[in-house]
Amino acid sequence: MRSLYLTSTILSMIWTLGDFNSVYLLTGGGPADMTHVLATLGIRYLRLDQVDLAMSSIVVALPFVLPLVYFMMKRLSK
Amino acid sequence: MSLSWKKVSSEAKLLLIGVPVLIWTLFPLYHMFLFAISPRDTATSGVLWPEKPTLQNFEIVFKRDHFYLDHFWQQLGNSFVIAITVGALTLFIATTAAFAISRLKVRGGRTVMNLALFTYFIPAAFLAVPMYKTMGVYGLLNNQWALILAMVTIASPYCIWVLKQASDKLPYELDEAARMDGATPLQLFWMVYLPLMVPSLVAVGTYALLLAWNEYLYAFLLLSKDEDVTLAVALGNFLSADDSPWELLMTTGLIYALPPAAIYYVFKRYMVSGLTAGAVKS
Repeated sequence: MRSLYLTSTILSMIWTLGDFNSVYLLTGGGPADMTHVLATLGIRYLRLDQVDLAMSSIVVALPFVLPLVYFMMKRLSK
Repeated sequence: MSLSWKKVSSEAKLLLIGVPVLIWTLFPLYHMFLFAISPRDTATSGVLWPEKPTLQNFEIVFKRDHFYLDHFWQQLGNSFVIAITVGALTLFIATTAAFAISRLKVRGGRTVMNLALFTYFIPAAFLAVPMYKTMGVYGLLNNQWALILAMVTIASPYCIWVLKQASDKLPYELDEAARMDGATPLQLFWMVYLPLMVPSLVAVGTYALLLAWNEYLYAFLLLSKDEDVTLAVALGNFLSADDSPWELLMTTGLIYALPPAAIYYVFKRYMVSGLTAGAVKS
């Protein structure tokens, strides 16, 4: 079971890091933009037509996401 | 005697965990139902059961008797059309891909599998910005095809992965026997592969369908006209005002939640076995 737990935990970590719906629908990033996560921040800039800022707030998340993805890939692909 | 005492205590421990989890899970559903049958003025009063349960909210929703519900039927239809199209397209792509990689042993199949896995791990919200930009370049914004294509992109990797794992379990001798009898790859696909894969296909198709049905972020980004959006976006719009009509929001939400529940119920015997067939290896 140990490896299964590890797999599930990391997968859950990756997806929670990129969760948009819960944050957006619960707080909308407010009050005063204090509860934004990187995903909602990116979408916020996108709605303001600042695609470059939106892209960069997503790219900021990649140093966290990619190592986890790499680890998962090594576990799951033969 | 001591054995049965042990049994009782372990049973009690399980109950002690199980009952709170059950309440925890069911409480939001109960809350939604409670709002849906409460009249407007008492909806937020905090009672456990309304004094005069009413179906009036459903009537308002069905007759589109509120500003937020002007396009209710249209939006429900949009949700259906988009979910079914995404399910069908994803199923086609994933089945053919899995067949080619697993049964025909196409060169580069492993690379495709790894890329699929890679896309599956990147959260969809991070891909939303590039996807929005891409759809803008193709001139597909405010077109329902944009949402359909985006959802197919997001649903496919997991479906390909699961179907590949499931088809690896089919005995290769079947293919060899069919080839001996002179079957072309297409015949192999139709007559040998598809009939054996039905449980996995149902599970994967349902997964894609429900993913598209539940999608909020992409629908809200890629579509903007009230007649085009799905019901999920319409539900989100309820929250844009300070005095949201909560009882109508919950009623619409309840209606919105029924089709997935029905689909799960119909296909539940396929879901567990089909989706876990290749989901996690350990």
